[in-house]
Amino acid sequence: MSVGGGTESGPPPGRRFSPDDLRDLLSELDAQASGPLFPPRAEVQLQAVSAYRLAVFWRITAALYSEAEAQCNTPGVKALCLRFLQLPDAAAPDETAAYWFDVDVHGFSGHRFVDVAEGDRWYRVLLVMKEGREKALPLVRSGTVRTPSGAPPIDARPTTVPDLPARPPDEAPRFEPALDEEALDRMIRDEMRARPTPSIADIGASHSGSAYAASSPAGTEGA
Amino acid sequence: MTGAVAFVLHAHLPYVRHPERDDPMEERWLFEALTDTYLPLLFMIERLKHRRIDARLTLSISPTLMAMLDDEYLRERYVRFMERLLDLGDRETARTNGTPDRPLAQRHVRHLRRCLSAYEKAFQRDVVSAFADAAKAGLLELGTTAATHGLLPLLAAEPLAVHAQIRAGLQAFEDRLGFKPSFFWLPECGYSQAVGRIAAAEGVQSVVLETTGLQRARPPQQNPFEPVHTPAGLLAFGRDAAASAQVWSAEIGYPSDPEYREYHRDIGWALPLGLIRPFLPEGHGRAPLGFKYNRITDRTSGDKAVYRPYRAARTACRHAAHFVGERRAAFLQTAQAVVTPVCVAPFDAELFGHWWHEGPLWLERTCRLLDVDPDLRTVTMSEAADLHTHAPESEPEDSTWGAHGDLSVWMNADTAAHAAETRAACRHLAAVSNLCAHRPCDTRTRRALQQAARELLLAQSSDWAFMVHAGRAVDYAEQRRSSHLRRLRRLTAMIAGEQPFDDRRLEALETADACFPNIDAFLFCPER
Repeated sequence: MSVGGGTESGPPPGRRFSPDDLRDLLSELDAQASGPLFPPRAEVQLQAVSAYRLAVFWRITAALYSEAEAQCNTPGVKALCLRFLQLPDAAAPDETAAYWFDVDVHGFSGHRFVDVAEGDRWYRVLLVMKEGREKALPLVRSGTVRTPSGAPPIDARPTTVPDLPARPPDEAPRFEPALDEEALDRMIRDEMRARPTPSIADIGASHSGSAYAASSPAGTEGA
Repeated sequence: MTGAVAFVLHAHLPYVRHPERDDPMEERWLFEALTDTYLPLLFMIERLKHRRIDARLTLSISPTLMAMLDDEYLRERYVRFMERLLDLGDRETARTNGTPDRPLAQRHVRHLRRCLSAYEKAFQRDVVSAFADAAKAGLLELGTTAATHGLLPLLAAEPLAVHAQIRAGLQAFEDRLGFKPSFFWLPECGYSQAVGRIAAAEGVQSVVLETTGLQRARPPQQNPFEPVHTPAGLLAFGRDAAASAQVWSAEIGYPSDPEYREYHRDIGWALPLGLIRPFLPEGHGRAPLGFKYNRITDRTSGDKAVYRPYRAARTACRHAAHFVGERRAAFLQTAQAVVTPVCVAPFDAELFGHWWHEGPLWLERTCRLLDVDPDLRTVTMSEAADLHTHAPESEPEDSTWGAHGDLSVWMNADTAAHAAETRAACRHLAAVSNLCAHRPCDTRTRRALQQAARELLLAQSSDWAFMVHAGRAVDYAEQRRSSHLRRLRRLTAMIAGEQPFDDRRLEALETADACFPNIDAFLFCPER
């Protein structure tokens, strides 16, 4: 436990940088390199943002794209699309999808947000190359995610916030003394004496508001 | 006892240390939080202790905040910052002579002097230890959170990233304080089943979730004052929606009372630039300077009346009594259902004092009222857990405490590319770490791996996406995230031999991003 002392963190003793030197070095390090920062790989990442919204990020490498094109022998339009499958559970195979829909995409990478009608459902996304109207060649698939439930929350107790106690009538602006902690203490003590803390038995089970608020007389503030 | 209230204060700031710049705006976030929140909370704890009030609070300190509070360079800068503010205070006292603002300027100067004196003398610049001392005295329970406050459900597609965030966070806490934290704050209350499993595997025992996480659990937890045991073994408490709204809500919460001090009226925005320019941060236009003379008055109007501290204090006392009364009423409705209902009321610590000037006073008065209440009391999160060892089992729903209870604050059109890029970075560092794990690894390579892990953790911070979403310091947030990823890439290029090893560059990064001194070099290695 290093109580009492701060950490002299940073590089080993011996070298210290002037702010100018450090700024120059960091600028150089932060300069944008050409090309992607990290080695790209073909992938589809699916994330449930909310009960009714999915976010999907896709990327396809040039090599995989060429390979897929070569496999599509049928003449006609070839297009990339994201195929959203709604599944019965996390491990269900693609064929068991209750339904699916396609979203066309362009380029080698990008992201899309897709709204869905129901919460608490399992989804998986395939990046496919569509060949004409009928055929679709799956290239990459995402993991399976579940959207959270969008059902109205079940709560035995209403979560509305009751009104605050009434504010005392405002007074004309005037200079105030500096906050006196002891005076505040006295005030609290007096208020609590005048308003003894009620016990549960005093309040009764049917009470629906604040014991304190109920007994807080408006207008005492300025007294 | 009829019921218990567990206040959880979550203290967090992103890592905003900039030794390469003179008086950067972002370091002032830390200095303002110290002056407005952390030191006033310590004063409050001191008063509670002095008056022998039996108050129990839980404070989660994020590892990045802890690193900054412990940093000698930032400690020195804070003292310089306060000295300059006191200089400004002298000028303000003279400038406001004969106006209603003068006693307020004097009051703020007294506060600044008190903070500086306590920081230097009583706490010897060591705020973390001051909180640790309060914990020893029993008023406080200390916890922590993920290393850089990464939003774990967004990282969970790469489980290694979640493991690393939690493990590094717990390790940083233990390294600093010498014991394991008994409470772990899930950043943004972000929960998913995968996160729950990983957190439990890393030794986390109890967490706080957004209300809906328990309300929509399977089976639903219908009682807001009772936690659930997740199948993975976590004890999950739900944040009490009503208690939170009363304190948190800008529209209906206590902090919006017209009597309270107006945060947004500050001489940094109001005075002619010529008067305040020497006190503004480098390379930045106007900025708040802490001298605030108005009360909220009317939220819909620009006309603001003069602040009245005494009346504001009395209002805070009144609100404290109201809060306690409301908890009592709420507990009554569930008295039959739960043996000891616990209202979990978590807040960002910086709400108290920084955003809501009277917040620490309100909290102190609430604790005092609860202390004398025959049926209610405050409990720490560990004590709350002890009260519910037989909580029912249920799987909470995926949730956060962001807007709508989902991920949309951090995953939206402006930030969609962030998650994919940081996941790719995680996979990349995992591959490089794996390579190093299978060959002799010299000290320099190990240091580079440690620094690469720091850079990746810093890039994963939830703060960057939040700032972009909120439209606050957007350029800074974007630049920070991308800088850390580029720095990571430079380091892995050196480690993997794609580029010649450059000691000077490595040392520059160790100087700039200097958190987590004992970080595991193989934190992101899947085989370790």
